[in-house]
Amino acid sequence: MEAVEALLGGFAVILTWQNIQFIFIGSLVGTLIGVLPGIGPLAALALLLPATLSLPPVAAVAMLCAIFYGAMYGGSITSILVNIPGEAASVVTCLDGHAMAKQGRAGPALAAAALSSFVAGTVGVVILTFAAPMLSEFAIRLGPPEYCALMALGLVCTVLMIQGSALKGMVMIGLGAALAAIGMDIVTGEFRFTFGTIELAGGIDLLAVVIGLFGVSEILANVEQAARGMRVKAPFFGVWPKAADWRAAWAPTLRGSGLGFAVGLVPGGGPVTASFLSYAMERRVGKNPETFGKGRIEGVAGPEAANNAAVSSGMIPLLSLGIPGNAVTALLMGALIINGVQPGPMMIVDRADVFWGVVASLYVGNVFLLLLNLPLVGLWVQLLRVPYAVLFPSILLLALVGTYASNRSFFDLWVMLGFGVAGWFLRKLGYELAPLVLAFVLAPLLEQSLRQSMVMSPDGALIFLERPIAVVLLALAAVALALVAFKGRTSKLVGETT
Amino acid sequence: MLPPSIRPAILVLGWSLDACICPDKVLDMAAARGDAAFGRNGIRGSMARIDFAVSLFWLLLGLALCWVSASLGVAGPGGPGSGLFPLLAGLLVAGGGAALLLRHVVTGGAAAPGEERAATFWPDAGAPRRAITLILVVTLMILAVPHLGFALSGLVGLPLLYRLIAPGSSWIAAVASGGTAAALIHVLFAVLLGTPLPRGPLGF
Repeated sequence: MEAVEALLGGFAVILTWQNIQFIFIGSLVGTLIGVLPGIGPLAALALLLPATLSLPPVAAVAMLCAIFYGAMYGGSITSILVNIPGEAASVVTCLDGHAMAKQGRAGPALAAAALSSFVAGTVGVVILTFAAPMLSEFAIRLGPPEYCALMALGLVCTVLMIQGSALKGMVMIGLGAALAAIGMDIVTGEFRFTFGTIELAGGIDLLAVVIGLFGVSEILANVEQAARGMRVKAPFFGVWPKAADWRAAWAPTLRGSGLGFAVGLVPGGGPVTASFLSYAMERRVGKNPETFGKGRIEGVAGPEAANNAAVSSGMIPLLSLGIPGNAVTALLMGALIINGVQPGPMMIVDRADVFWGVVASLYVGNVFLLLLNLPLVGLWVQLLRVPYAVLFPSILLLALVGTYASNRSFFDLWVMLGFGVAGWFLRKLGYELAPLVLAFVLAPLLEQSLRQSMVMSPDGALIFLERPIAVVLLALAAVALALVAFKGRTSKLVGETT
Repeated sequence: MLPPSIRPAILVLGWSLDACICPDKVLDMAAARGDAAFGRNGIRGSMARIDFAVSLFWLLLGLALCWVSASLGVAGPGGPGSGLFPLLAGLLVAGGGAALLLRHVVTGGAAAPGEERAATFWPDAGAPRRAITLILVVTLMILAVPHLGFALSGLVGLPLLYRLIAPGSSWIAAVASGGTAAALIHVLFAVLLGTPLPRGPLGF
């Protein structure tokens, strides 16, 4: 009951005219960006984060969460109508969603996507409401060695969950950690890797890195392919599914919600993994698996539910442990820190208004998205006609101004461009960039807890073997590392089922 | 005489250096030996070759990081030194790079399962021109911002980018689109959010 009372307090914080406006704008802009292929949810968050810097913490994070949810919803619209995923988690929605659209059933497919996303998002937030405080209570008892082991486990799991080469993921994590070490060491006051330049003394700005890696690099990739606006060929007549569709969709929605929630809790497991696993599961449990890919509503409802549930559960480690599990939550953590709020077990005590305000905003955001999505689907479709010649240059200017606005530093603009070019180049070679961002955000915390642990113990690194929870976490990390070795085989199995 | 356990590592490092400096020599040597890993579809692919060079770069970067970190001090009288954490990061980068190189040698540069490596570096003949022009225009915009401000830099740069993406379009449409976007972004940040942006000669 305590959680319910606290949540009501959160609603009192969030239900102000100003906050509702920001959530509405976030949902609207997020859906708009999600609909447009080429700009993913992470890029949307990175580009719009500077616009939230002048807002109070609750409004800023609520708006960013709404942008992210909106981008996820919007991505499914493009997948279903034009067979081009607006973002990676919507790739599997293309398979059956677009097949349904070609049969003239785009309306039911869109409705199934929106409603299953709403159900899963709401289920996820309800569980978050009760689970996050319990985890925070437990996490208060953890010391630096346990935290260090937990973050190490998180980074190893990130490598495990990478779709492509685990070795490349490992390099990206090392690189992210090394980049985070640039600047003045807060313990000794020594400058590291600054090469005598004053600009690097304060370290590299997170926003410049993220906007470069996800915003500029995506635009570069799109521009070199001479991307142009697209036409919607799939007809759609009515939005509401028939009774048979409802009957077919409810069970995959619930299964997707449960699976997505579990996957989102695992560090490195995000909406993309959740949607692929859900599709594989639906094919396994569904009747006539050979008809998947030919317009089965289960193939839309399950993955859409899974990716939204994963988004909600990803907030649990962030809010209760202060440890982001994926690049999106890493960015949200950056936004909270910029706003003077340190996520972690003490957040629920010290900044209960922000904690419960953010949780309440997730409920409100889900409702807004449902209200925005179905009635306005015709408007979103029209957006696909905006020429890229208008869109991409405008986004580039937004990236430049946003990066500058964070620190008012011209040097950050060069950092942004450098990371943009590097990200574009590395993506061509199959490097995933999310582990770099995750390591970049986690590295200062990891270094701090590592050093505190070593100082605490006369036996140095042996302290990690003297604390039971740390031992268990490190053992799990070792198991995860061993699983990385078998990754090729498991990827093959998942590939066969999808 | 080197211990036998070190020899493969030295061999890989030597091969990597050779492959970057003179890839054809190494490939021809491998082909002459009948090494299946370096077959027709193996490391000879341009993307595989770039991947190989980048892996070598990670190895060297990681080693450099370790070297600089060690000079910062890994441990001191009061506990861990400034260099400990970057040293671990450097080891991860170097280890990953070395393992990638080894995998290249073993698999002939084939991509890992699920890895989304592009088939060719440039998707079409016009791609290098578009990508390089975009980078140049953004570079010029960054150079111009301290003198012209964001709005004027955008007014000059955005039409160029518009024409780059839609070469057949008119300059009037390009200027109108660029001007509108620059004005809207200026209003959002400078007016609505109150962010102090650098001012150009026209005062905005």
